[in-house]
Amino acid sequence: MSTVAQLANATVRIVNPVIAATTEVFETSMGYRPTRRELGIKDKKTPYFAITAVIGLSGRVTGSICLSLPQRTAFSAVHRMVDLQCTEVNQLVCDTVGEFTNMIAGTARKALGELHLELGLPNVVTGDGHDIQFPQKSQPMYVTFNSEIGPFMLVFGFVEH
Amino acid sequence: MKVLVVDDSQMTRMVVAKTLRTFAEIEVTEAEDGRKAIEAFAQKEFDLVFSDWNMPNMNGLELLGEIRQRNKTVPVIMITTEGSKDRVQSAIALGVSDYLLKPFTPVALRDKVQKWVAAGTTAP
Repeated sequence: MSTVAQLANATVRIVNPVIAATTEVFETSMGYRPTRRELGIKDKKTPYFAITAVIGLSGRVTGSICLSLPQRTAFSAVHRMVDLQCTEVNQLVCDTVGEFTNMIAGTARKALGELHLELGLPNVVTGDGHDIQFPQKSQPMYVTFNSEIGPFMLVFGFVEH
Repeated sequence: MKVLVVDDSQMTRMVVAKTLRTFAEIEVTEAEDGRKAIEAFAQKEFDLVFSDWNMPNMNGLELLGEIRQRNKTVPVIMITTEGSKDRVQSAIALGVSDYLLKPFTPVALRDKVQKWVAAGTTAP
């Protein structure tokens, strides 16, 4: 049976800094704290939402952090940030999700200074049924959140060298 | 007042520009990368530059070097998630005037503008 306690140490070590970073980024950027919901092992039963940004980090551990949003959450984020109403997944919507992911990863990185992590640039994947590849032997975890602009999910998986 | 905002994120450029316009009469020029920023710099003088650190093609520090070859005094403020003391110190040694950590509040952005407009030079 898989439990959080059995996960790769590298991923478990990232959990709290990533959750704290997410809360800080949403609170500072949009003025409210998202509410954390579920925490678990990422598998096919927990699919990604329609828009996912992924950013790689490498140092004493290697892995990725993903931020995944339904379209309406992403549209609401754009509206909240710059007062523009989007009705389709365009460059600005993808850029917004990517930039939030960048800020979450950067903020978490500060709290994980001893890991000497370097950030890559975010990439965005869209469409139903997409998947993200993590390093072999990492055990990706997910955290779901509720917020004023709608639900969203973080997924992250890391391995030690 | 003329401000150049350089960031590969369209969202960040828009947020910075929108925020700047709410508290001062500011002419904002946006550039999505270092090359566009250098082109903008060749066309007009700026009173202040906000630049992202982590950008494709030319990062913020490389852009800073290009700007300093053309203008040694314009304040350049890095907008970055990079909060490591060592890195910030090395950036300041290279000629960065100040930095603003992402995510930032409108108040934090306004404070930086007021500080550097009052100072008028790169010196802290």
